[in-house]
Amino acid sequence: MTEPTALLPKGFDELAPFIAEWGSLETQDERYIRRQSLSMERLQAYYDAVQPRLGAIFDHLDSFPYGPALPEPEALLFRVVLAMSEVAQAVEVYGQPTVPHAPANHSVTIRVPNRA
Amino acid sequence: MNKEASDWSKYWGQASALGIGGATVPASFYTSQEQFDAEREKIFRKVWLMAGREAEVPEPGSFVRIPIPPLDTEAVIVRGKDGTVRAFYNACPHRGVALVRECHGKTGLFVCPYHAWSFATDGKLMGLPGAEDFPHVDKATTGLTPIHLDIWNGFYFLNFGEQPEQTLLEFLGEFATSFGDMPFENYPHVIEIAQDIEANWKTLTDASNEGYHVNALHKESLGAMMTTRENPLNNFYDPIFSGPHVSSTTQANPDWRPDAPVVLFAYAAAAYKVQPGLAKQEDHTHGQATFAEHPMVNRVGLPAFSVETTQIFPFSVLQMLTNRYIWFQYWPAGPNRTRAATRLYGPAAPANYRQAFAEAHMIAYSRDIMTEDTIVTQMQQAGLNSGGVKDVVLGEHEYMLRYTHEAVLGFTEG
Repeated sequence: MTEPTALLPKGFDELAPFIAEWGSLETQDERYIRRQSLSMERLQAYYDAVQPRLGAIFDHLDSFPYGPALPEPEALLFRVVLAMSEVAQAVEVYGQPTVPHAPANHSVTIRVPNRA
Repeated sequence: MNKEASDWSKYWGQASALGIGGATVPASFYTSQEQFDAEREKIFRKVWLMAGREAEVPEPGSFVRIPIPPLDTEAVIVRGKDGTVRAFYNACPHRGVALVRECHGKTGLFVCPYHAWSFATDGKLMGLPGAEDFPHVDKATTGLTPIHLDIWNGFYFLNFGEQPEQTLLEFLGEFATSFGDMPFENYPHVIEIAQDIEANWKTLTDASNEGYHVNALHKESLGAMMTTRENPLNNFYDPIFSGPHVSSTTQANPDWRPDAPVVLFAYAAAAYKVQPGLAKQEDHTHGQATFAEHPMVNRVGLPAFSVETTQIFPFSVLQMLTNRYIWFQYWPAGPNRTRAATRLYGPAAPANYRQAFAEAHMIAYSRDIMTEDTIVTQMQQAGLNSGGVKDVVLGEHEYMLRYTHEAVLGFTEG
């Protein structure tokens, strides 16, 4: 787990409280499983903090070339903001962390075909 | 119902008017080992199986290894030095070893790890250490065992029969021509959602092929986007048939306007437009033809088009959306088990971070909808296995399912 003290780029400090939950996750499936493990209150807190900043966050990230060489503070910011792809499903679509009737810790592999 | 709505409803189609039976089907159709065995031998070992895209093996030497769950086997798809794409059983003719272990790669020579027999990309035996010990092996006639492969519109199909009973074009029938220039190649960017599902493969083709469940099961995820007052049960429109294959059109709700902030952000950020119900002139991407312009998509001209759903028998379902397509593969792995691969194809990979976010959002959204389907099919399988239901009952507008069931039974009982 990335330490909560890991540095975000300047100006994005309000995302710091969510580094512990989201900052070290690398795959969509890891984010999906984390979403299922968090309370609705915690998901809503993330949503409320990050949603108004989406434009500013991506204006900043897109000032860097797209690719693997993102500086670590920006890479951390990107990992944290990618959580919104999962959190928004819980907050905007279902009003609960999980897809209705899905089993606990439901895991779904996302990949390029034939590249397991 | 107003006049305009009734004009569209005339395209809904009904099973009885179309001469399609199968208003009920026994639960054992989905549960019995006997039915599964019959499907394996009379369908999956006989017909052309839509298995992949030619672009997966772009260059001479490119190969992929794909499991074929209904037949408990594996195929290696490889493009030879001559540019021809071929398929082989993943089995060394010496001692039977499944010699290719990588999921994909590029090579000029497949070498078996056991005794180092080696094979060219056209399957021919190239070398065996101590060849003098095998005077009874004719190098010229020994090689990897081929699987019949043919390509249609960029899709490779496999046929595991000794000799296919039909050519691929015969198998596809009229769709081979009418869908033959559907511009799939304009959508090369692909992500796969892979799941092992504890349900019969036909419960999944069923779920892909009717709109009746949309405003119930998918109420929160798709209901408002798709459902209209005039078509509250999301009937499909304008079914067309070609051999065992069938295609039908789904509307979007023209009055639907997304208002969720993250959905709106993702739609605006996406590398290409992903929402349904766009007017055709809004949908051009990279200057290329989209599905919306193709004459076999939305043939009746629904003003708010959503999806053209095309079932390629037996287990593939293509969903052509305005500006992308989804390919559902429901590979049977047993009476109660399906290996599902849902492939999302778009025109371009993300080129910046907001586009990457939009893609992640679209994947999560698609996976959750698919999860609604897969979870309920597992619940369905549990109920069918319980013995509490003798027959499954299907409605007049569930004609795509009924047509497919009749096609399955035509093979297994024929």
